[in-house]
Amino acid sequence: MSTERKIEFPAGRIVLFAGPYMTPKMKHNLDTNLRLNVGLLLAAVLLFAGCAHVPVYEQELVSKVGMTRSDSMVEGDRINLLSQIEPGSSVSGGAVAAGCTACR
Amino acid sequence: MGLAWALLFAVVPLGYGFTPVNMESGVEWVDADDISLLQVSWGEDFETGTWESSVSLAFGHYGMDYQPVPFDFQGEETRRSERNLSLQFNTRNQVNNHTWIIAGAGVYDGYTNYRSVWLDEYYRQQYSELFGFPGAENYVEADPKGINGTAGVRWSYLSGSGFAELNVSRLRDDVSPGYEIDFDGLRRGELTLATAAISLSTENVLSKRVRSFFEVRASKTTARSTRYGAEFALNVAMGENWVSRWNVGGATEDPQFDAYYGGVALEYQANDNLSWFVDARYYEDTGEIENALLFTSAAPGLISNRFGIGLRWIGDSWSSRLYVAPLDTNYEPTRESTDFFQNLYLDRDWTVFQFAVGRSL
Repeated sequence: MSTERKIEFPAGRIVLFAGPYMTPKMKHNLDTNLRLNVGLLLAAVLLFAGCAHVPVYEQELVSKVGMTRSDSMVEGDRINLLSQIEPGSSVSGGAVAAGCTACR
Repeated sequence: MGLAWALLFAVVPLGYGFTPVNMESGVEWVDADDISLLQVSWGEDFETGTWESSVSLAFGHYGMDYQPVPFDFQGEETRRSERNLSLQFNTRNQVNNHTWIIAGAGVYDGYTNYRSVWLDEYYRQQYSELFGFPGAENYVEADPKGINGTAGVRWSYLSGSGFAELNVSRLRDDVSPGYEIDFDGLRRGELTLATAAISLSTENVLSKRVRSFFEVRASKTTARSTRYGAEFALNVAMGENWVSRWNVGGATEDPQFDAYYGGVALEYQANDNLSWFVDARYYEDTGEIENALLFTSAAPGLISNRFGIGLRWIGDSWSSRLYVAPLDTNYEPTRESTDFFQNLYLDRDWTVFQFAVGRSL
């Protein structure tokens, strides 16, 4: 069992503020999981705060097919079968059991 | 059977006053030398009052030439084919000018991916006839199927230009289980997996030319750690006729799975109806958890690349999309514990084909 990645998401807040006091080993444990989560939260905040109101009558270009997000196979880019080949891109993480018998 | 379901779900809503709005049908085909994946889908959108609903039906077929590794003395070459049928219903209701409530439910019967089919064949050949061996009774014939349900809310926090959406999902999957064997006998993995998932997304019109989408999500499946994921996409209208679409995303799951991907598409509108586009995508992951007793089917690290080209035609009533792409997948070499799965985690050159047609009703 790997013991390298023990920092869970809620610990991120502690590590963020304790950064200057962390030992090299503790900093090493600031793994990709944590960095990803912190980065995502910051990006989310920026996106919420940074958007300006664009009146509907000025949205002609952003409302065209190809500019909107759509579940439609015609208007969107989604290819359902590819989540089988790229398991990390599926939305739910997938409920695949046959791949690993003793994952825990 | 599938046709009967389709007719049932297409006709029944009409009896309750739903007005059909759009209908869409599509074919996806992803093919390599030894594996072929096919999905045929059909969907219809309905409206009544403040309700917008959709129903979709999909039929999948997986075919593969199963090839064991040369040192698998129990294994034998065989041709394996499996089918999958799924049905999904989604609806949303506008409760006021800024808020929608969302609900959805779905059901499927059959394998959900080719990897499960390959592994099921491997386990069948290895463990289905272990007469007298400890744990032999643990082997079961797989009967994969599942259900899902979703509830959510969508909020327009900036009228027409800023949206946030929260969705919570529950899934229950009867899966093709994994097995491990050692001197204590044969052990079986979970037969049924429960998954809880939550996602929060925002969509913003940032300017007259830029639309953004950002999503964070987390999911927890039985006997696994929580998987976190995120995706950011930016659609940019570079001119009256040029559009570029960018996206990056990633996922991580303890103890050691990380995935990253990114892509870009460039689309040119040649006339009022016809557009062509090209796209490229890169995907990389670190491989899955690997802490089995002796052998594990966990996938090694993967890098895949895709370059595609397509056409989109939008008419007054009919519309269609055609897309073709080569896709190559490159796995890291298997280790001692995964050597029996060398032919599953084989580098492959895939061809991706998609054709869809829609009609406004």
